[in-house]
Amino acid sequence: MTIKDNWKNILKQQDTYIWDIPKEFNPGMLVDGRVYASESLLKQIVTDKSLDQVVNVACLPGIVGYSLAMPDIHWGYGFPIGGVAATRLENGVISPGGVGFDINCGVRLIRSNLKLKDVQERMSQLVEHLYNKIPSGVGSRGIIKLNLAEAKRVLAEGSQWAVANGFGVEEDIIYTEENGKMAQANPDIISNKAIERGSTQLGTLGSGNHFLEIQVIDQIYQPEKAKQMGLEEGMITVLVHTGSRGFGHQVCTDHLSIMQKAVQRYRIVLPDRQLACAPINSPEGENYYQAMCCAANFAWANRQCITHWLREVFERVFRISQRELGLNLIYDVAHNIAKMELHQLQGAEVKLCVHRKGATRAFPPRHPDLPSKYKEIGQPVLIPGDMGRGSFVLIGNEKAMRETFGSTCHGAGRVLSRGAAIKAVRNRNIAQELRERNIIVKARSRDTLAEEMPEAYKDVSEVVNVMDQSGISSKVARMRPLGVIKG
Amino acid sequence: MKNKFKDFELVEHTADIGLKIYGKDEKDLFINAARGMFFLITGSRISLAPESIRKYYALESEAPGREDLLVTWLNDLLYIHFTDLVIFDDYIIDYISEEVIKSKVRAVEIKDSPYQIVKEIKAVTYHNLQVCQNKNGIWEANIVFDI
Repeated sequence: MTIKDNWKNILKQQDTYIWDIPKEFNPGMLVDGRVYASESLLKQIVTDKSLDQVVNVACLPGIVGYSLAMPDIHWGYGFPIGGVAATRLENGVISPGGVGFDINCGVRLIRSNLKLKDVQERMSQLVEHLYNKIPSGVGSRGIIKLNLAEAKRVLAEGSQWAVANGFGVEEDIIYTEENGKMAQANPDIISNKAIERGSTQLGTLGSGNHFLEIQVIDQIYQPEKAKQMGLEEGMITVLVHTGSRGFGHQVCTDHLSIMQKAVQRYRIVLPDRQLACAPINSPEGENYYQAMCCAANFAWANRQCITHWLREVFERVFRISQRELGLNLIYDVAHNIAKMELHQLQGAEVKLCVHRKGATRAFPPRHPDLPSKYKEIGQPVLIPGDMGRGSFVLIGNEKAMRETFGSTCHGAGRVLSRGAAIKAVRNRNIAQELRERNIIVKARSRDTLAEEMPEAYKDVSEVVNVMDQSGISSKVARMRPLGVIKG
Repeated sequence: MKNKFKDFELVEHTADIGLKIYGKDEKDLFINAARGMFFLITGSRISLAPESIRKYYALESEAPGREDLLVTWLNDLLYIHFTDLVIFDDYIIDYISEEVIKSKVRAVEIKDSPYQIVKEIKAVTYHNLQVCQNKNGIWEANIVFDI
């Protein structure tokens, strides 16, 4: 029996927004499952098989705490999207399925000195120029061509390679998670296939749910914290959502195949083959982590190059200097990644492997990994919504460290499959509908627009409110879309 | 030649997309899986005019079992598709066992074809992966793609 058929009896409500799946539900579960959701979101969540995937993840060797699900959870492959799982280093596993194919898919937010009145007249022009400058769409290729030696430097250095090569400023590195570089990256173990797929795709947006969005801040929830971040109502911002492109996809493909054999070798029993994993301290586990770090670095370099080009476009369109534009990076967060982090477990500080698949790191004030500007307020968390509704800036709270291994939600979460979305918009013109709401959208593919229409997603406000009301991460600002570039 | 049965059908999945694939034998199943995957990528059944510029690839894929072999073969085709910007229109399987497939595949560069890429498949997953022969002797497979 799936949870869908009997969820009212299986799920145990702990408080308004917390629902547990006791480990007695399935003999393979090593820990309870825990879902953060409002009752109305939960009623959507139980309609797919994502909670069965929460149960499957709870069976992974070495898992501690809970198999966690954020309110944007939906059915993925292996892990649910919106899932968090932490495993012990000494007896736990690392799973490529707990990260996903798009390693370090993530979001970055750039502020500006521009106000709504400055951009309204030029929005079409701005969207057109950004669309022409930044390669997007299926299989998009960039203008940067990397030879083998240079590609390896990107994989080792991440966004630090990009800044050193003129694609950005030193300050960008400070405001990127991990300073845009995971030091454990080992380019020497990367397959030729992955290098080849990555060598033409640096500085490309890609397709699917990836986008670049020009926005205006239309609501501030915590003025002091917003001020500390450099955000204010009426400010124009830019949100970039993309990942490690074909490079990361190939790294995941390569290592999933290796992990299938590792599962046999280490006699790991799994309920779903896509959860294939290996002990963290095994050669297979270590190699995957080092390769994953390379892909994470590729993604940070990718978003950094895109940032550089969007700054150039703004400069050209508004004919004012970079200094006057003030296009400064607020923060860059990964939402598909595994990290080795220190957490409290039963009164002791232990290093754990935290898998976040469709979940965002949300470290609290005074965490040592935060840049000094955010030390007193906590880590900025960036939550993109859909093309028609807003996006949010949140801030990480201490409760996230106690309950969710320093994690929160990552977005709105799909409710319609892509096919269902295309069927639902037949005879509708999504671009025109958005234009009537003063949102200019430019996309390579009409299907992408249909698949990504606002109704295909949960209401991001409802998702964010769960994390805010739970005390995991608090709302700081909301941005409304003005112009969107899609693949 | 007209198929006596469906070669593949789409299976909806919230975040991704799946295919149910049929074949009268294993070779047929693997070929139909490749056709289904490129149907997802182009939105069309690929059929090229004889004068189209063609490229040929000899592929040898290995994996530790039939299900893994299907994933590996499709991922090998995806890799060529991404790096050489081609799509495939003909597949000849010279040899297939549970662990090895040797094939010759015919491709055309996308820019020289009448087709467009409408969907980027990131990878072939192992999620709900199944290959079996039904009681009527028809081979069936379930595959989920990450898109």
